[in-house]
Amino acid sequence: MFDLIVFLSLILLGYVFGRANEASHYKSIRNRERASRRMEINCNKAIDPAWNVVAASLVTGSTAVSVDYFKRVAASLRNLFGGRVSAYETLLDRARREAVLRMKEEARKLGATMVINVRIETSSISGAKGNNQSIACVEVLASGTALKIR
Amino acid sequence: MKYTYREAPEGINNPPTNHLAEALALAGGLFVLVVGVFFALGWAADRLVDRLSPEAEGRLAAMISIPVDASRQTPDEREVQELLDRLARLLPAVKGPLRAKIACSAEVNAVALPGGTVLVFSGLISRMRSENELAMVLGHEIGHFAARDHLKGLGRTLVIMALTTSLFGNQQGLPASLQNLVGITSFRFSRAQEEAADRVGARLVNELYGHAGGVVDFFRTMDAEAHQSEASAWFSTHPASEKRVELLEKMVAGEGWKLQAVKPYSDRECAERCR
Amino acid sequence: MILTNVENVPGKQIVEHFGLVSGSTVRSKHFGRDFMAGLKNIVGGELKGYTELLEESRREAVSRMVAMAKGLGANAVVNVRFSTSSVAAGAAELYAYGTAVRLE
Repeated sequence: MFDLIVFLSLILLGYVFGRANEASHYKSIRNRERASRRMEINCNKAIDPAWNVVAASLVTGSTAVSVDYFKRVAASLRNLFGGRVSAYETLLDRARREAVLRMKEEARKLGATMVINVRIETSSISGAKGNNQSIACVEVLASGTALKIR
Repeated sequence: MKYTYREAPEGINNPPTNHLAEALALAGGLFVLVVGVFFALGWAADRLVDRLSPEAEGRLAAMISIPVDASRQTPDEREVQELLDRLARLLPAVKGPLRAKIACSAEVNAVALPGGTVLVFSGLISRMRSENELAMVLGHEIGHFAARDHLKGLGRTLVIMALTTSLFGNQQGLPASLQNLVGITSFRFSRAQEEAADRVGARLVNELYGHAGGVVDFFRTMDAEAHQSEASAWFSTHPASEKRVELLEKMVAGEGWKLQAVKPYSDRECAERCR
Repeated sequence: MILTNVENVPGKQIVEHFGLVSGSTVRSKHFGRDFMAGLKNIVGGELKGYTELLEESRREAVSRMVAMAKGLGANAVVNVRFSTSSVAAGAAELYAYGTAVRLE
């Protein structure tokens, strides 16, 4: 019975705080995306001959995130039935945008105006202890070449 | 090539979803599925138990039960054992020897354990006012053995355990207590099983004494004591007593059994001797 | 919507860039499929259930990326890349991203 109470309160805690956390993170992501809108990022390798590139440097941004207890339980339920795991989609969306924002931030500190050849990698770092494979913990790494153009 | 900043539309990679509603729907679906599989497998287990040979039952019982040594029974237990043997002889459907064991506890209950052990709590013994009453309780447990209800209960418990571990085995998810909860409920025999055991018990009492006097006495007592905490153990594994009294009275009337004076029996000191 | 995985769309002129667009989805197969895949693991070979799952998810990821590009007013995505990662046991994430552009 005690386990059950712990289980339900963890779900409740996860739901309430996870929701609040997600909402505030999305708000912050949107604000920072707007603030960094002048920084162009793209996936292209080519450099326009018209640009006067004065400096180029590798920039990276990364973040490791995990889901709350409620979403973990919801996802493990979804796993039984199959289909779109919406609990993890938001997690990855947040992680990816956060990683790109951190990369942009690094580029901005270098005085760059754009980042080219951006690559985004996701890797699962769950099961680090080797016994709990189903905990979703992912690391997103965004990397690219920051260009300073005069 | 010019760069234009435009804000990307929200909700493409994270479509707005009501996670709570989704989780509840999935949990409901899982519940329905598990209940369905539980009943299907439980039914299969029951059918399987019906086909089980006495030898196989004996081997199965040997694996899961603690044998009760007849020579080490207390005088109280020997007394119950003697009555149990007399009753069991009347019912050839019961295979293998039955062993009486008294557990020292104020709880008023008796249980049919796999392996042929009838576990009677001392609280029940000290409440008996007649031998016929005790014979009815023992006859009821013999009825469970004859129908192999204890094995069916076990079968269902195994099914539940297999189900929960296969679904939630290595994942975090349902805590152990929830799994235990499901397991315990399957230890309770079904209403139909209890009623069948009551019928067997009443028939045995009638055959042993030549009349059906005392078959409803115990349930009447339990009915009167329903609010007491010692009695709650009985109700945790048995249906309401008034219904059973009604059913038994109907049966006695239907069969045309006589009701005569009961053989007095008093063992109020059993609980004290236990210690 | 034109999708390419090179720098440009051959034969067309890019007039405007909108930056990075991406589409992703996380999917899982029901436990029956997972169980069958476990059996298939013994003999090896193609896991049809999983191929189907990943194919389906990749289409979904691409369509989300395209929806994002459309939302920005683009009519092509160049330099498209895919990545697949396993988020949790049995759940795979498909991700597609590229540069949204407007062609002449």
